[in-house]
Amino acid sequence: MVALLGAYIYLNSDKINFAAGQYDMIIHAKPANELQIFSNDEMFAAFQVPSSDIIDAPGKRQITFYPLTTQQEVRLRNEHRKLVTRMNGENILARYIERPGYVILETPEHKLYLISENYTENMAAILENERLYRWGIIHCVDERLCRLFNVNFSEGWGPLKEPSLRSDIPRGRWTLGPVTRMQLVSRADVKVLATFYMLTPAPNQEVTIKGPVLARYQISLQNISSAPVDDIYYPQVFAVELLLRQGVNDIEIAYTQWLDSSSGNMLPLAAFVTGIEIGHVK
Amino acid sequence: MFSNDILNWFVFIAINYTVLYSSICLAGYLNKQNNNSTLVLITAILVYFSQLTVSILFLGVVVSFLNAYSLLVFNAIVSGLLVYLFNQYRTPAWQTLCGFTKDILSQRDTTLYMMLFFLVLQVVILLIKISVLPPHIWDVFTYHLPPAVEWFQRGEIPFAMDTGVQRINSQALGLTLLNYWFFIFFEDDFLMGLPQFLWAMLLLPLTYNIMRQAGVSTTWAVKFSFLIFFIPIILMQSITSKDQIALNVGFVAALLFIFNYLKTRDNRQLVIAATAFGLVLGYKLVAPVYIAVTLVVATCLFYANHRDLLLDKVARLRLLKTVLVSMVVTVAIGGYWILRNMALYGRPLGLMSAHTPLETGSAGKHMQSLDYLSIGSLFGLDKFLKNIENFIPRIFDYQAMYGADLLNMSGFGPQFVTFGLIGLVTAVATIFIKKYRTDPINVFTYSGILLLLVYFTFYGSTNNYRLFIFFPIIFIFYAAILIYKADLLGNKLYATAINVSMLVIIVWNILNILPPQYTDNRLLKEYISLKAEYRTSANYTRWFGIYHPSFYRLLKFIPPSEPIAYISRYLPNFQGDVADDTWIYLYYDRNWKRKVTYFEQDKYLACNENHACTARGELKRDLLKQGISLVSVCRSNRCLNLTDPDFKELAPGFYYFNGKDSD
Repeated sequence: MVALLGAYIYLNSDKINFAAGQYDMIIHAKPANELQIFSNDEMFAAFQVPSSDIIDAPGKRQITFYPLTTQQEVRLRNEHRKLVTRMNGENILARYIERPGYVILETPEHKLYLISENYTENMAAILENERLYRWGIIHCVDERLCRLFNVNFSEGWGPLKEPSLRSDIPRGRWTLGPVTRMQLVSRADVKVLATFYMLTPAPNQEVTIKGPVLARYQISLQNISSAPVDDIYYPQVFAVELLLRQGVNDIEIAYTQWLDSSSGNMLPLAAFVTGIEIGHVK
Repeated sequence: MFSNDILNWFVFIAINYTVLYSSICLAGYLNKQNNNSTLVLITAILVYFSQLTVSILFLGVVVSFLNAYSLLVFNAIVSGLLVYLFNQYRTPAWQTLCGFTKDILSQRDTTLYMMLFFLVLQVVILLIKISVLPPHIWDVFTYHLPPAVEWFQRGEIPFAMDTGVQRINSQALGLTLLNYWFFIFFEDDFLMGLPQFLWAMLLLPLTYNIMRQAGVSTTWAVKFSFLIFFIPIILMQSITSKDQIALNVGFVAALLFIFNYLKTRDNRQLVIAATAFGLVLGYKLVAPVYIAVTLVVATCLFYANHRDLLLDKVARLRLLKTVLVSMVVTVAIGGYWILRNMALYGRPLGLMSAHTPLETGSAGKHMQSLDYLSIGSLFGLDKFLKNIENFIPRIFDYQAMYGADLLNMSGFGPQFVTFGLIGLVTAVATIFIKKYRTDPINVFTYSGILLLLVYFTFYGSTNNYRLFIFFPIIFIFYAAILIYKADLLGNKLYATAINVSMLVIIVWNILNILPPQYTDNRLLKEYISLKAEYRTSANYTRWFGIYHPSFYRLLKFIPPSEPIAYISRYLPNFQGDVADDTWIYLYYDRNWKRKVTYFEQDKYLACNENHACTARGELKRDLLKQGISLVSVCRSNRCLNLTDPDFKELAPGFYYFNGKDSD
C-alpha cells in the first residue's frame, strides 16, 4: 500500500510544481483598483476598475464603462478642473474629457467612459470608434511624411494582436520565419529612418533587413518575460536608413531563428513586431 | 424573493428545515424495522432531494406556475402532511448527531482528530468556493444551467427550449431542478454548487454506515469515510453545477438499501433504494444502465440468499407489491425526462441517441466523445479493450493536471491506488471463491465491477472517468472492510502506516485541489474583490483565453436589462473542433434578469467557407421586432465574422445592431 502511494506521488510530482505556480499567481495578484473622485475633499463618485480585455485605440489603456448619474455628471462637467482623482487611495494624474452623453476619465493605465445617457448606444459608438481608429504598428513622426507612402504587409505577417492581461506583451503583429516581406509604396523619392521594435522568442535571433538600405543600427535592450508564463521574449530594436524611390520598395526581414512545430506552435513564429517608426533622416 | 437578504435567508432556511424535518419523519417510518440513526439520516436526505425534485417538476410541468411562492406553499403543505402522518416515527436527529460527534471526540485518536480538522477545513473551503466562485466549466455553460434560467424567466418548465444547444432538450435535468431551488429564494446564482456539495457530504454517513454494518469499528469507519470524501474528483466536482457526484453517490446509496434488504428482508428498504434510483434516473440518461446492472447483481444475490422467499406465496406477493411500488416511486421522481424524450422524439434518449444528418463531420465526432451514449459505436470490443488498456495509466492520474473534467485521468486520487486497488483485486477474487461469493456485501463490489465493464463497452473518451466516481468509493470502503476483518489494524505497525498514508493522502489532495480552476489565478484576487454584479461566470472563466473573444469580459459592463441574441447552429462551420456548443450561461447576469434569445444561424446569416457572414433581412426585422440591439455570433471560444454596415463590431463576434430594417 505504502509503495503504491509512493508510486502515485512520484508519478504525479509535477502536480506539486503546478500547484505551487498557481499559489504564486494568487499570492502575487492584485485586488481590483478602486478609483475615487473628490471635489473639495468630498468624494462624490467611486468606481471599481476591473481589468479589461478591451484596449483603446493607441493600445495603451484598458477601457471600462460606467453609468453616470445626472448629479455626478453635472459635478464632473462643472468641477472637472479642480477634481482630485485617487486610485487605491493615492492621488493620480487624470484627464477629464467631456463629450455629449459621456465623460472620459483617462488615467495612465485606464480609460473610463462615464456614460450619462443612452448607455448601450453610446457604449457601442465608443467601442466602434476605438476599434476604427485603432493604431497599427506603423507610426510616423510627422503627418506629412506619412502621406508620402503606403505600407503593404505582403508576406509572413499575422493579424494585429491586442495586449493581453495574461502577459506584459504590448500590441503587435507576429512575423514568420525565415523571411517576412513588406512593401513601402512611395509617392516620391525620400530618405527615411525606419525603426523596427520587435520581441523575439529566440535569444540568439539575428535579423537582417534587406531593401534600399543605406545604413543599419542596432540597439540592445533588456530581456522581458511574459511573467509568470514561462515564455521569455528578447527585445531587439533595429534602425535602418532607407532610400525610398517613387513606386514600390520591397523590404525583406530575414531571421535566423523561428519556432518549429515541435515547440507547440503551428506557425514558424520568428518575431513579434510591436512597432515600426518612420522618421526623417537627420 | 424579497429585496431584504435577511428575509430571504430566513425563508430559505425555514423551508429547507421544514422539508428536512418532514423527510426525517418519513425516513423514520421507512426504517422503523432498523434502529439505525445513520440510515434514517441517509434516507431523510434522499427524501428531501426527492420532495424538492417532485415539487419543482409538478409546479413547473403540470401546474405551469413555478416561482418561490408556489414552491413555498406547495412544500409547506406536503411537509405538513408528512409530519402529520409520520411524526410518531421521527428520530431525534439533532441529539443523534451530537451524540455521534461526542463519540468521535472521545476516541482519543490523534490521526482521527487531525483528519477531522482537515475535513472541517476542507468543508469550509468548499463552501467558500461555492459562494464566491461563479458557475463554471463548459457543460455548465451549455446545458446544466441555461434551462434553469429559462424556467425562472418563464415561470414554468416547457417541454423544449428554443436553443442552439441541441442536447439541452434531450438531457436529464434532475440536478438542474435542485440548482433552480438554490437560486429561487435569493434570485442570485451564488449557491449553484450546493446540490453537488450536499451529495458529496452524503458520502460521509453513507460510507460510514456501510463500513459499520460490515463490522468496521467506529473510529476506522469514520477515518475511511473521511478519506473517501477527499477523493480528488469529489473535491473538484463538489463545487460545480455538474451532476456526476449526485449520479454516483445516489447509486451507492441505492446499493446500500439493497444491501440492507439482502441482509434483513425488510421490503421498505427496497422503496428507499427506489427513491435513490429515482433521483439517479433524473440526473443522467445513462442511469437505466445503473439500475439494470444493480438488478442483475441483486437478483443473483437474492436468489443465492433468499430464494426460499419465492416459495412462500404471501412473501412472494408482498415482494411483488413492493417491487411495483418501487418502480412507481423511481419513475415518479426521475422518469419525467425519459418520458419527455419519448413524447417529443419517440426515443428515450431523445436526440442524443442518434446522429442526425446535421451532426456529421468533426463536431459530430466530437459530440460522440462526450458523456452520452453514441449509437453509432454502441458496444464496441475495440472501445472495451482500449478502456482496459487505459485503466492503469488513468487511475494513477499522471497524464494531466487535476481538473473537474478529468482529461486523460481518473481523479480517483492516491486513496484509490493505495487502498482501492486492494479492494478491487480481492473483490475479483471472491467471484471464484464459493464461500464468499454470496455475501450481500458483494452487491456493491459486483455492481461496481459490472457497471464499469458495461461502461467500458460503450463509453470511451478522454473524459469518461468523471462518470465512474462510484468505483473508487466502493473499492475504498471495501478495502477498509477487508483490512479491518484481516485484523491488520490491530497491528501497531500496520495501523501507523495506514494512519500516516491517510494523512499524506488528505494533505496531498487539499493542497493540490485548493487553487481555483478554469480561471486565470492572476486575476483571482481582483475577481474576489469585485462588486457582486461583476462577479459573473463570464468574468471569471478563462476558457476562452486562447482565442480571446473578449466580449465575455465586456458583458459585465452591459446592464442586465439589455437583451442579447445569440446566433448559432449545430453544424460545425465554426473553426476548429472545440466549438460544439454555445456557452449560453455566460450571457446571463448572476440574477438571471437578462433575456437571451436564440436565432438559428441558417435562417438569419449567409456565411461563406471562411466563416465570414452577412446578415439576412430577416435578422434585422426580427431583432427590431424583439427590441434586441446586441448580437453574438460566438459559440464557445470561436466566433464568426459578421460583415454588415448595420452591425457595429464591439468586440470580435459581438455586435451592436443600429436598428435599421433593410426591408
